[in-house]
Amino acid sequence: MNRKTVLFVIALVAAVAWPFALDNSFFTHIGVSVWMFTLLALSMNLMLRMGQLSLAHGGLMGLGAYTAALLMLRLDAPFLLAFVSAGVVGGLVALITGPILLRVKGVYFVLLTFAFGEIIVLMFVDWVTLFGGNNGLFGVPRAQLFDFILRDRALSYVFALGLAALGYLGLRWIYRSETGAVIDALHDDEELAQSLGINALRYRVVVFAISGFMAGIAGGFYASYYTFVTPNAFTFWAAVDALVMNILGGIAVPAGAVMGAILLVPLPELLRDSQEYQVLFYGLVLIFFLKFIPNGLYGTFAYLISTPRREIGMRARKVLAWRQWK
Amino acid sequence: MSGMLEAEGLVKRFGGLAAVDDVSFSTAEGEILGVIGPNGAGKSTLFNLITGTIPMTAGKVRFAGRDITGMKPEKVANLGVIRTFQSATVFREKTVCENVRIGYQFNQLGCPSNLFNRRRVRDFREKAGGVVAEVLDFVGLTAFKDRAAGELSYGGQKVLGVAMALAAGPKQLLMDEPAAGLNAVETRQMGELIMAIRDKKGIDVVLVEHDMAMVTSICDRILVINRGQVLALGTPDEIQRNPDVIEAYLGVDLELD
Amino acid sequence: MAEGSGIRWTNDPGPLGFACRHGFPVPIMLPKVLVIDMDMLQLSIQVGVNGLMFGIVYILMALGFTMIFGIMRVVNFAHGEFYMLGAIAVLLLFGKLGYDYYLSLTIAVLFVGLFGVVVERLLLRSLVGRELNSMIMTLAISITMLSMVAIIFGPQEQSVDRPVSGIFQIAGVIIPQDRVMVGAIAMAVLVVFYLFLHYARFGLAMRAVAQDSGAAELQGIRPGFIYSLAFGVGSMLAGLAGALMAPIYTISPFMGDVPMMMAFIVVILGGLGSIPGAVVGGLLLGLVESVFSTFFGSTAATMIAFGMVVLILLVKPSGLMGRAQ
Repeated sequence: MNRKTVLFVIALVAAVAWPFALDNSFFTHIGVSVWMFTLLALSMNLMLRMGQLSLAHGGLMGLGAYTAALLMLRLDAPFLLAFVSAGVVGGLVALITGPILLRVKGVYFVLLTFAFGEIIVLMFVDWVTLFGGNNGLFGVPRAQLFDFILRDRALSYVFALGLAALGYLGLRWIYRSETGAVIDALHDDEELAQSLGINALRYRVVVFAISGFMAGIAGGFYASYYTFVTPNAFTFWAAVDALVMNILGGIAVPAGAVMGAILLVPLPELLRDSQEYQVLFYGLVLIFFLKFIPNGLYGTFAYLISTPRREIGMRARKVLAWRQWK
Repeated sequence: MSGMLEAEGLVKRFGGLAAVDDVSFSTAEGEILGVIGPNGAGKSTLFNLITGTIPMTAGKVRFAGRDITGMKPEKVANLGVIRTFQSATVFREKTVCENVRIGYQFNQLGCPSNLFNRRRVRDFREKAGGVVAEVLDFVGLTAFKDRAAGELSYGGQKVLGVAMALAAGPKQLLMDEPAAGLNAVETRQMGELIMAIRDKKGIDVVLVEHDMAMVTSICDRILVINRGQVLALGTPDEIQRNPDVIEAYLGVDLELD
Repeated sequence: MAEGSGIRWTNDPGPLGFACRHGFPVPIMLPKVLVIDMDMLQLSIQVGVNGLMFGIVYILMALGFTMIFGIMRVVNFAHGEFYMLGAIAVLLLFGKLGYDYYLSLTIAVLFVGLFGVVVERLLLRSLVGRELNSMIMTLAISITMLSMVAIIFGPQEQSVDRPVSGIFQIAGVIIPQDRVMVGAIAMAVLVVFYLFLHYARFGLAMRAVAQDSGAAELQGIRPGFIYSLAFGVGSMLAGLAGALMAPIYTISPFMGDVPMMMAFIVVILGGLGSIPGAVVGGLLLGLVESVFSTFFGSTAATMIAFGMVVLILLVKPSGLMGRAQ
């Protein structure tokens, strides 16, 4: 077992034990939100790693949430089926719209997915008979496995943590596999990749579909944890949140997305009382990070760990000396 | 003897300007064909048309008897026509070894559906190491295999680009200015590499070049393009004595290499 | 309402009833419905005129947005907040402090422009060309501005009096006078803007930087200065739109959202970075919004607008009048 695996296991155990040790319902709830959004942030990480930003992921998560809610409410579907369907719907919608949406790149893709995500939300709002309009759907049953109903908040936390951990490990596996090499190549130099034989569009669609699946799963969890779904939880702001988590934590590795979620999700809760101050704080933190820590926390952290202390000192001294010369 | 690559009446118009104007040629088997011409004559555009990177206004291209006109670049690559680029295009963050492996992988597993084919993936993983080692040895980069590609010299990166193309299993190589940016020694080595590719691997080569010394020394035939049109096609001797070619070259600035 | 003119309030919609939603299609709960007995020709002209009235303001918003993108390649998510800032400034100067409306308008516009220059200099200069990061920075700026205004002025809706009121009625077509004023000022500004871009030294410099910033730099144009100018002018246009709409609409910290969305849509339709595109797109969107919200409701209108966006991005991403990238 190498150092990183040990570190991961320790972190995992600490994360699992945390709510039981603390025994505070409010903090546990924050923990659940953290892990749920981690999953969304990880799904966004996949897209960013390819070099594309999708603002539709809020809508995909919403599709998952509404699917799970509707299956359980209207069709009395068992939780497991509804939950998996949530992911499947997210992935399927991405798979079907992918070949169309992914033909454009860069800014245009961002705008296109923005419009697409907003159309999805508009559908949730307008199709009142199916989706419940602005009020959404409520009374969604909680997660249930056979006869065991997940009512305990701490256990929901463990469930969410489990999903996030699976997502994290899954992403790391993908990045290390052949697919990861393709994703990196598509980001780095797509023309080169194509000249060697890569079908760029198809790979992009596959990545988009996996990403959509993850977002859908996050939505499925959302539905059964909160027991109600409303359209305004799944606007492009949700995608922006996921993006910000990645920026804060650093895009380069999935751990960055996790760190970003851990940092960002509890932030508004610190200022529960005033929503305006919450948003203001969020905005200022973002500005600060973008201006002064553009590589994200993990990026800076990794740099500090990998480059020995001595060398950083030497480099700093070189820079200072050069500046004096000028 | 008819060769593998046949171009017939290729035309590419950008608005009113014809960058490529009715170009036809076909390669002979086992041949290194050089394409020369003044700057802006349409040589790079020609490659882009053949590989499907940009759409053709008119004309047909055939490879090994198969019509590849308008095929997507990745399909053309899968059929065995691989191109290299004028600038040093490599994946800079990855090691030399990884770059070559990627060349092999992209050829074997180019479509996502391949990834689900367990046998293909297993075959790839078993063979990749050997293919990479062999290619690195062939181009002479074995000593650098664990260095990041971005750390190599410009010349080294260009050789790596060739190595990646080789790993992708080409039957026909299209090389866009392989000697651009190389000093005299590196140019000679590149020339030797290209000949070795033809001799030892049996891969046909078409190359666009400005370096006349290299072209005349390694090419079996030369295609001269001027203003998007074919000016002449023949052996280096014939071309050097061709009055139209001489006029075209004397009428413009000599290459500032 | 004038008697015998074919205009009346009613609780019952009737065959051609439609709720007058002046300006941006935001759901307004009206207790009554205005029924206008018009024939199809009059209705068409009315819809067309409405479209023009919507369109002119859309153009103002879109111009600033497209300019900022064309010159700096920055997608300015905070553009709606600059609109809101203009309205808030009018609220303060005209509504609370009682200055003359046109004076307040001028001061508001200049203030917003200056604020834009400061924001650009401090926060955006280093991110020019880095599309992802600059996009997120403008998002961050957007929510910061939003929440600061909400904290200072309160989140509730407020309003100011209209500087002009009443309606013109030409051949049965209704044109509110305040909208005519808005239109007139907007048109005047557009003309000045056009002249600026085509004849003024800095206007030409901006267009040069938009086309090729490297070449422009070689000619001695300092890109930094141009970026500040572009962002400042762009924000001024947004602020102007907000200040003009302030008396017509309610003012709140969140009023910038919908205009932002509209600017987005117009610019995508017309082409990111294209000035004529912004004009064409603005008129097109105004007309589409007018037609669809009249007959099908505002949500349908918005969905159609987004649908058009999706279509354009797929068929011709560079927009109706944009250059291919």
